Amino acid sequence: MYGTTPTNTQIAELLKQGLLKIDPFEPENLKLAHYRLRPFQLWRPGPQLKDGGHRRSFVHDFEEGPYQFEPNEYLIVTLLEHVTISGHLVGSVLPASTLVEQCFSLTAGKLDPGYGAIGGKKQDFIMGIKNMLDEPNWFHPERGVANISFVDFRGTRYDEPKWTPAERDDFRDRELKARSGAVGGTP
Amino acid sequence: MDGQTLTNANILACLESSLISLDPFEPANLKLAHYRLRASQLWRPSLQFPDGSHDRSLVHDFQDGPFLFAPKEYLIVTPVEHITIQANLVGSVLPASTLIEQCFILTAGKIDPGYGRIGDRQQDFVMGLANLLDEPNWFHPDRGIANISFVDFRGSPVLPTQWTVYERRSFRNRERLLRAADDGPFYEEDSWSEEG
Repeated sequence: MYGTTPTNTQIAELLKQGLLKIDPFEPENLKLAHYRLRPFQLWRPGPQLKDGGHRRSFVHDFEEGPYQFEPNEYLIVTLLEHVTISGHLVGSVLPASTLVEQCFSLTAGKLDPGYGAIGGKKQDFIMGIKNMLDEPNWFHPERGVANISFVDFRGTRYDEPKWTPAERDDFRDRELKARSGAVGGTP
Repeated sequence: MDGQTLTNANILACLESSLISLDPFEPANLKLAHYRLRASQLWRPSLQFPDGSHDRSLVHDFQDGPFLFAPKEYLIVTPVEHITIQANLVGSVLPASTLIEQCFILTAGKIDPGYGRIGDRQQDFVMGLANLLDEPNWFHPDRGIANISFVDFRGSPVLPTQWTVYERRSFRNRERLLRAADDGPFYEEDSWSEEG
């Protein structure tokens, strides 16, 4: 079998088996073949560090409703859901189409197996969200921020992936930061 | 068949059996496993509605060639192709790589089954296109805008999908706006409730 995209029935099975974790899980957000992720907190990146990472400071948590972005403002967004992936599954994140008419753009990536924990602590999945307008713009969290779908590679032949020196250094740095309780780092 | 990405031969078979519609369809835009979408119209977002979306006005339709974006300008773009998807197929849209050297960024998403019609009207697939430069920048529609690929879930077990409160409200609002655009009357708020 080659890598296949699981349907909602298969995603529900993966959740039951513990191969996938989406916590908290809201059944209404499970669509035919993706789960709609919800924004949790917004963070402002500070000056760039020498290694390319940024410290970040907390901005908003949607407790009191939507957030008004400044013109062209770029913030880091974390998710309500903590996502962890085991086995030979990969997650792929695309912007929610609702962002188009809200005039925001999203930078997001993939999630490999093992993602979700680092240095004995939860690893936040972070994305970048930017107001594309030259004027203030409200971001409404209930409209969603991104959709995650998965590819299941169990039963498929594969080679053990290796790390580049930069990836190894970055992981060790993040592990140390997680253990020391620091916030931030490269996405 | 478990969720598999369709090849061009599979996409053609889905077009012939009307499980997918790409109208108008241009065979030269069908690649190994995706179809290259073409830009049709550009729209400028204006007043923001309480739900976060924006009203929009037509800016350009490429009848007279490319469009010169203002520095950092963000516009809504609709494709030439009207896309509808039936059965248990899903469309996934990624930016055309030609945008990179043109210095544009695209926001696009997924298309679920049933997309393409709302009420009895055509539903446009919208994307967001921004000029990343601090200077004016030409957008050439012939270079493409986005690529759509499809995953086929026919034969796989699926659960019936539910809507969130926001999704239900948004769909009804859009349906109401389209009906109002048709014949002009004002429609009262639906009696639907948060618990509904």
